[in-house]
Amino acid sequence: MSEGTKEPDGGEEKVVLKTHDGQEFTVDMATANQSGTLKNLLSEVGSSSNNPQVIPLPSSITSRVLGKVVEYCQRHAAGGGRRGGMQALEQFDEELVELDKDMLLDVTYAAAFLDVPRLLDLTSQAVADAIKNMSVEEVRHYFGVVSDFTEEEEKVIRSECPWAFE
Amino acid sequence: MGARVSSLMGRETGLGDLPENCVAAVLVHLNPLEICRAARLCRTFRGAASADLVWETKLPRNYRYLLALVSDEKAVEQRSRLCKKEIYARLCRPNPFDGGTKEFWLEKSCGGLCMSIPSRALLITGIDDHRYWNYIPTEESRYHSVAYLQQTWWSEVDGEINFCFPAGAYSLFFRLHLGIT
Repeated sequence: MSEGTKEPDGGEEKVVLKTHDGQEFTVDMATANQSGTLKNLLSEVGSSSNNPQVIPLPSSITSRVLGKVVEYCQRHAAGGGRRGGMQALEQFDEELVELDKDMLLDVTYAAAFLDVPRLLDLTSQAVADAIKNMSVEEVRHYFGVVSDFTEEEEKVIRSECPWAFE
Repeated sequence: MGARVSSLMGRETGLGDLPENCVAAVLVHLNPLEICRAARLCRTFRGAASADLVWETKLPRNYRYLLALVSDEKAVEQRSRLCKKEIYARLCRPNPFDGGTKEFWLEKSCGGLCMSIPSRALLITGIDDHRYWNYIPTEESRYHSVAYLQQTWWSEVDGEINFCFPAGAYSLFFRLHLGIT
């Protein structure tokens, strides 16, 4: 984790994240570096304040979703040394993933795509908590998962992991 | 093509449309039984529910040591071919060790280590004095025999075990049965 990295003074280096729906998010390098994907990319191409790199994002990451990711990265780039320390940061994390189910899945996808490990951990924990006490049918209904198994596969799957269902 | 859930943005992503690495990240937060159940959702879940990186987090830290103790495994080579999920399933079975005198297994929903030591593997003072003690056969015990105490005004039982337990808190129980049913 690159938490605690110092913020560039006066925001010298900036990078622009552009969503498919046309919105632009200008962030500083400390924020961008929270994402492994952006960090790798920027280490190769570089960016400056006069001529910031514009990075286009895939259509699956909408501006609403990116807004959440940026919010997370900005807060974590600042680390626990600000606004009430680690406790406040943990509370921020908790509240950040209080999302409706579609948004939760989208942010999960974005966190994986942009390689923000701790955010992915938070959202996937929230998804896991949601499906934990549901039957297979309930999960399918709640999250709109359609079975793509053939009838034969269904039969095989039912007999899989007998040790888990004894 | 998996699920379709429309959102306000007109984009369509469902739980089943997440890439396998995202699904694996979700499964890591479930217990082994929940993972096996989630494998029934769709192909992506089934794939992720077999991933080593998911099961690695469920195995005890010293699973290699435990696996080496599993006596019915003939070749080391054969063991090394097992995926992590198979190793977990294998360790959840009762595994005899110490020449079959004791058994260990993993509690399948949390991966905690359990062990059972039969009366024959304990030091019971006076066990050979048939005025007090007898071994009697029974189907109720996994070892098919129990130490039966006729009468006593004191007893002493001692046991020793040499085993690498994964770090954690353990409970110790003596299993006693009053009377013959």
